[in-house]
Amino acid sequence: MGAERSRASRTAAALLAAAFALPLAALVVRAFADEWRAPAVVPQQFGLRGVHETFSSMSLEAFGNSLLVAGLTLAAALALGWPAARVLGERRLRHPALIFGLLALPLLVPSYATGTGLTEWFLRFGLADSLLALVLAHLVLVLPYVVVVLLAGFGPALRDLEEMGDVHGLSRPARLWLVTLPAVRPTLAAAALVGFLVSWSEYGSSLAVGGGRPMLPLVLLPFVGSDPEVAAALSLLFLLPAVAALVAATRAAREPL
Amino acid sequence: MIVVLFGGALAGALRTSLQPLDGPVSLQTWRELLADPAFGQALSFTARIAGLATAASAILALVIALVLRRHGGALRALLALPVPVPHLLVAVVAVLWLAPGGLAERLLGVLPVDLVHDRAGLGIVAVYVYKETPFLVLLLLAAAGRGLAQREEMAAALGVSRAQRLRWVIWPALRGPLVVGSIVVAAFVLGAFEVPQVVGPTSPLTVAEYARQATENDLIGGEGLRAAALLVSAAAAIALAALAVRLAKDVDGR
Amino acid sequence: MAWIALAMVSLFLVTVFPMRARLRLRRYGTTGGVDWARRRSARWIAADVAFLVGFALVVAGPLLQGLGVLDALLHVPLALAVGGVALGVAGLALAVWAQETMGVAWRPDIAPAEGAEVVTRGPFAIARHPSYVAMLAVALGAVALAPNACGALGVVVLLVGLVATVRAEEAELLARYGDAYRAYAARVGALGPVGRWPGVTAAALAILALAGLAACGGSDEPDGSAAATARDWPAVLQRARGDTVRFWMYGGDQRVNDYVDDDVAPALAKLGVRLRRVPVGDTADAVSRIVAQRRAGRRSGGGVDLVWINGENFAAGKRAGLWLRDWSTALPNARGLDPGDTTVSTDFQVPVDGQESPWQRAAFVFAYDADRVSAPPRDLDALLAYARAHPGRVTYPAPPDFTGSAFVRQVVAIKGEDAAFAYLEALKPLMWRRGETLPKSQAELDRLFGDGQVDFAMAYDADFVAAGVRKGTFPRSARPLVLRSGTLANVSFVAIPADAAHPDAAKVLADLLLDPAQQARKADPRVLGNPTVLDLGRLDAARRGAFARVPERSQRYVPRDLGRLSAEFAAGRVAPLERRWRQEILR
Repeated sequence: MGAERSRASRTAAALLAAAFALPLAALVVRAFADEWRAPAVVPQQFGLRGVHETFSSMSLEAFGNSLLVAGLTLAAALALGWPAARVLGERRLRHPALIFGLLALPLLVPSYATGTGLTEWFLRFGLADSLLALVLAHLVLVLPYVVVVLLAGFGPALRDLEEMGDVHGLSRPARLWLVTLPAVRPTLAAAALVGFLVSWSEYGSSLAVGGGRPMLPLVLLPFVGSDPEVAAALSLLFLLPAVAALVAATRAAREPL
Repeated sequence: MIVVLFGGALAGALRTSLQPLDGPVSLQTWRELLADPAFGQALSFTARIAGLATAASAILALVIALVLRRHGGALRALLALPVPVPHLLVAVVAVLWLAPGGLAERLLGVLPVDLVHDRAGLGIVAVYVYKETPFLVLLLLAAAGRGLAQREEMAAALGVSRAQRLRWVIWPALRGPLVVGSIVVAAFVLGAFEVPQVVGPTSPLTVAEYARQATENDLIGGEGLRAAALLVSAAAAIALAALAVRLAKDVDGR
Repeated sequence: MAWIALAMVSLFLVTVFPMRARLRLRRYGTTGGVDWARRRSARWIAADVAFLVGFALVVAGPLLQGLGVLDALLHVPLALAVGGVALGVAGLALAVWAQETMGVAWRPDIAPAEGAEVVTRGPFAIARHPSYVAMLAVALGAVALAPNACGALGVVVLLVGLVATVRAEEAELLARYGDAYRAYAARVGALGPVGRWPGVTAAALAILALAGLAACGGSDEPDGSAAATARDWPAVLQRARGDTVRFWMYGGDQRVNDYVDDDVAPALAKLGVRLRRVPVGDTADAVSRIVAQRRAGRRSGGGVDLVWINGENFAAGKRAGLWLRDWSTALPNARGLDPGDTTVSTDFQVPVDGQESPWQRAAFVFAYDADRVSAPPRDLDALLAYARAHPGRVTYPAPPDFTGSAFVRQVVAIKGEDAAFAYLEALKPLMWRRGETLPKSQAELDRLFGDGQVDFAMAYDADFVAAGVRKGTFPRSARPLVLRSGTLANVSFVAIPADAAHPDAAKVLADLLLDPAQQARKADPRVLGNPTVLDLGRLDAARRGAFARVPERSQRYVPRDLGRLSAEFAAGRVAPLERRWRQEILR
């Protein structure tokens, strides 16, 4: 009985996963199709025009920039978000709702609004067009996501675990390494993934505050719609680190035992 | 820790004060906004879509999370593939597949239902569901974790039935992240324009599209309208969030 | 404003002290008095001094400002003023409420002779010293209405004084009432919510402060007029050397991108200037950035040096004074332009006024598939007839999309406005999807056309058929189609924002774009196929030769003859037409 149920659920799971992954395969084909119009199921003509654009100097520079900014933003978001999420999750505050509300505000407000406002401030302070400004702008959007995801994993349960560690006489760093990190690893992985993705895909702020610094979403977006092949090819370039991050995160999140 | 947190909260407050409270958002702008029938249409349309998309994703995500709980990383990774894809790309892929003349039609011969540019906005909902469900699933699975499995096993060992396990062990653990995640999804749908622009009907528009069009030809004068419209969707999202949090508190007794 | 503040504070003082004393006298027979002897310890003296000085400053602030002795630190927007008054009123109300609640126990001083008990009702349930909170509120309100250095300092000193007074009083209250007071203190904050949640208050204050700061500034006018040294070209070249030009331009056309990257950038480098192409999805994004800079009060060092622009975007910028003035006519290569050519001296009928330099020409052109359509319609009526014969095969992008809007204008240009809308009405039920939904962009229409869903495509680009075939979006049987009755045409330009960081380098680039060699290269159908904006007649033989080398426009994807060109409409007419379309046709 158990084995049957498990097989059925395994097939269901597989089907589900495939259903979600399959449509994206079309993107891969599109990237290499010089001509692909209805009613052809297979492209009329394959070619490398899209790929050519992907390896142009602007695209590669954009790739590097986006990676750098996303990395820095993620690091900052984790550093800031961890304590925030801990305190919120363990209910140590007297008025968590207010703080949580403030933190979550960038999530609720359309990013265009946040972006415009930020631009103005950065310009006032003379920060605009610098790397710092870019990272800060991304941070505003990434931090809430990271905190929200971390919150899902932090809580009284974690504190209990840590107390157990204390009882056993573990020093602070040891406790961190042996108890805390393994316990929150899935959450941490998910938070890192979400944080990275949000920064990696961010368009509005990068354009407003970046000062012309090429970023991958900025180079990609104008082609969407107007040139499907190039758009698809650039999308693949875009998706590469994103998917890599996804895989890394799922690996890290797997139960060790 | 609290100091750091307060610093973060302060920074958050700083950020919120950075909304474009420009002069242009005057009473005149609001009057104009509210008088425009297109805006009313946009509001109801957007609300409908957001509601549908969020509900569908949430339910679907719950089911999938339950199913996928015990399965390995490979399947989860496959499922999560839409997550890294930005909404715009998903919309484009959707058009590639679902539009008349798209791949689906080329493969099947004929498409029974209109999914792109349909007035009911089903295409938009479909795209959002496709994109957000994996996000929610990830969130839920992160919350499920090892502790939940252990507790479930304990309950099973104690002879608790499947349905009861679902209700008393699993649901409470997942409920929090699900609510929070759903709020995020709803807020996003309320405020984003890329997907409706690609897949949505010419009329009615969503609030975000309406906002965008306000500046498309009257760049500087239209900014007021745009800001006002966006503030409306922001307010809606915030209200929604507050409501959900209140509900969660009531149920939880926190 | 300052006088209102003064009035507010005075009212408060009068109500709280003398009037109250009089009331007390009338009700209970004594005023209560102040026990000066007790207040002589150092701690009390310090507290009293701080309190009095603070309050004096708070009162003096608006007074001095009203007299013109002091200046406001920032401009007070209506919202802040209303807030200030609200604070003042609230403070007054709170003070009165507190005094009423204390009833007989109230006195100007703290030490009751009678063995009264601690008052914990009403306002005292929120704060142990609500009167002081009220004072603080009124002081803040006054400063909000008249924000000057004196008032601000006054608030700070007052706060210090109040805290000191509270401390001194509490020492005595604890001594007198002991545990009862201790219990009370544990429940209720000294100054109410303010004291309990320092973080929240700090955050709230920060928000207020920032909102205030945001209200001020940003009113500077950037210096719009270029120095007359635009005429001194060698100097411009010299200054530009070593600079980078950030050229913001639409990035969705690979051909233009490649042309700029492969032809223009190296040529510019030879002049010692670096080109940084900034792709945007929509020119409006670039303008938004420039507007944001303006709002932030920046006059120079802007992030956009040169922007590819025309039409309403330019007009809006011109109205707002965003563009550098008087430079484009001074460019050396501008002599190749025909000054009588209105397409080059006006942009959608808005005079260029030397604020932008021409670059590319555009004409409104259609496309059809020669394999599917054997006899393409040559004018609008024929198009309507075609739609009648083949329902569902004709459509156009919905305004306010750029191309869709242009199509509407094209129809209006040929037929006149009312007849045009009658035409579009008649066309609607015959369109693709019965006209209930239209493609939202030109790109989408291109896809529909390429996929064989509709029979015609259109674009404001004479070369778009060639581009479409090259991209693979159009079948190779696609052909351009030009209406006989008049083709809408325009010219697109490059403009320099007034606050650009490198205006000289931008000028050098604009000049290079007008260079006959560059224009010839751009006109080459293998590169871009874009007709030149220069007047060949004004070029000397050598430069004209560059154009002779351009291959004949005999390719089948390029319209051989654009026919009669109609000028574009006034920029201000575009939006109303779109609105009318949305109201009458889209509905």
